[in-house]
Amino acid sequence: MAERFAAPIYGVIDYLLTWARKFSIWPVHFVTGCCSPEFMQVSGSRFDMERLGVLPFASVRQCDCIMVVGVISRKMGERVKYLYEQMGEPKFVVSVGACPTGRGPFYDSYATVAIDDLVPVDVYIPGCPPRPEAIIHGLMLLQEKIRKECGFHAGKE
Amino acid sequence: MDVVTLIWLYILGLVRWLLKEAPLQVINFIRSLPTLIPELLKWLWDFIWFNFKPLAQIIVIPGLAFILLFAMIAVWFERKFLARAMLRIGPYYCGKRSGWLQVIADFLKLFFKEFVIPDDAEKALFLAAPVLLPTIPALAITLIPFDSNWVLFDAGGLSLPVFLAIAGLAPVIPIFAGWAANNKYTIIGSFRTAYLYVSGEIPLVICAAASALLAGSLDLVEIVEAQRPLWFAIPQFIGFLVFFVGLILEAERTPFDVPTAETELVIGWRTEFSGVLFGFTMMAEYVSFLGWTLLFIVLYLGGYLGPSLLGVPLYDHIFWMLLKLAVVVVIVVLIRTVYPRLRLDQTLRLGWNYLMPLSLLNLFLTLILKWGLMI
Repeated sequence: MAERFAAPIYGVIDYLLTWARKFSIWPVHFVTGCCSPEFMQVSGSRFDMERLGVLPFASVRQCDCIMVVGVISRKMGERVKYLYEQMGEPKFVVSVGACPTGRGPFYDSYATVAIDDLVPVDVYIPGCPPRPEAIIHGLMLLQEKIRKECGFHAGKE
Repeated sequence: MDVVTLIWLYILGLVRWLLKEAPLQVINFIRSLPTLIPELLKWLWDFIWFNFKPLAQIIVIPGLAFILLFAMIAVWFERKFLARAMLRIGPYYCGKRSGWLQVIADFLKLFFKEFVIPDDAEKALFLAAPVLLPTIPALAITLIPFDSNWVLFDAGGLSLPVFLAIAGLAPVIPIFAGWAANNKYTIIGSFRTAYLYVSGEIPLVICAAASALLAGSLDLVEIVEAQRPLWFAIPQFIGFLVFFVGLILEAERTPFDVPTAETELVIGWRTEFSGVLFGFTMMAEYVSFLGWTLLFIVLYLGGYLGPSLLGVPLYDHIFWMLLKLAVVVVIVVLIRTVYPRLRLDQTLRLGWNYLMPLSLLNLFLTLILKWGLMI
């Protein structure tokens, strides 16, 4: 009975919450490789990612999302973990480019790791390097994912 | 009778009261409810009717709604304007067009985000600082006259020194906040804040003193009334410029945002604040900016006085105040788009080597002017 009355209220709060989270993704960019010029273009004047409410940020505590751009060596992997653990709870990881996704051209090196061995990844953006359009598409996929999965009812359906 | 008997008698009396008297009391209360509720409503109505002006002042214009709306519109305008200056579009998809809901989305997200309290932090101070940060500049704003009879807090003819005292209290909170977070970046950031405030506040106070000297009063309303023939921006042009630079320096805005330098310190004394605490610190920045801008308008740009067209003065209105506020905010945001950040030593050199002597020169010139006027 109580659930029947509470459900619409939860629905409204859910709607507002997911809407707010969708439109204010603040990524901290963890740039270790040469996908970064493409990533800079994304916040530049031609492919403006602030249109989606994405505000690049320098500090980890306030951010929602890590964009892992470039090769992750074993030593750097520890730092990715630290960063991930320092963020507040609704947090997402986007893997940009071939290197963090599947070790890319360095697939047979002893020193590189794929990012999904370290932290849970939400969106993979393929390409070597991915074009700015692809990165924006990845961010839009992340928005869709937040819209669907980041409310109170996450994982209940 | 001994004590035990007394206690038993008391308890029995209590039980008797509960059984016999209490139901009657409850019934009487319920019977009187139909008369009580209209009386309460009437009391509330009288309260609102007789205190309409202070309530409107607290809730609407120098108070809560004005400050919150200013912070929201300023953040939105800054992001949009900055984007336009960089040939970008800025927030667009949030809200149907022009991204006008962007600030609300950001605030909702920050409000529902987890906030992390570090283990080594001084917890009470760490949690108190974000609440105190916007409160103290907001207290100072209550002293600003928005019209000759629209002042929320009457300081008895001393509103300028009281404003400076309250606003001078504000930098203590970031210093405490940086110390309480117990992180090296926050400590460095908070000490930079201290340097910056010391170098910026003294020229500001000297300029305000010169303005008060020219008006012959410490009351902000009388300072505005003294500008009826001529705005003080013209007789003390040096003070006008120094106060403008000093207000940007006090509000820690971009040419002087040394304490929150993103490339050197992570984001200065705000580093450890996350979630809703961070939202409050961001709001505090805009509230202190609003306070100093309003004081700037009152001291130099004639406050609520309208411009006089061909010798015919226009009506005094709050509208003029808001218009001047909008113009100053646009100019300050424009400065942010144009200039890069100064280093710490450059900022301090600007404060001590240029602003300070210039403000003293301004005081000296004002003294001569006042002397000439008296003769």
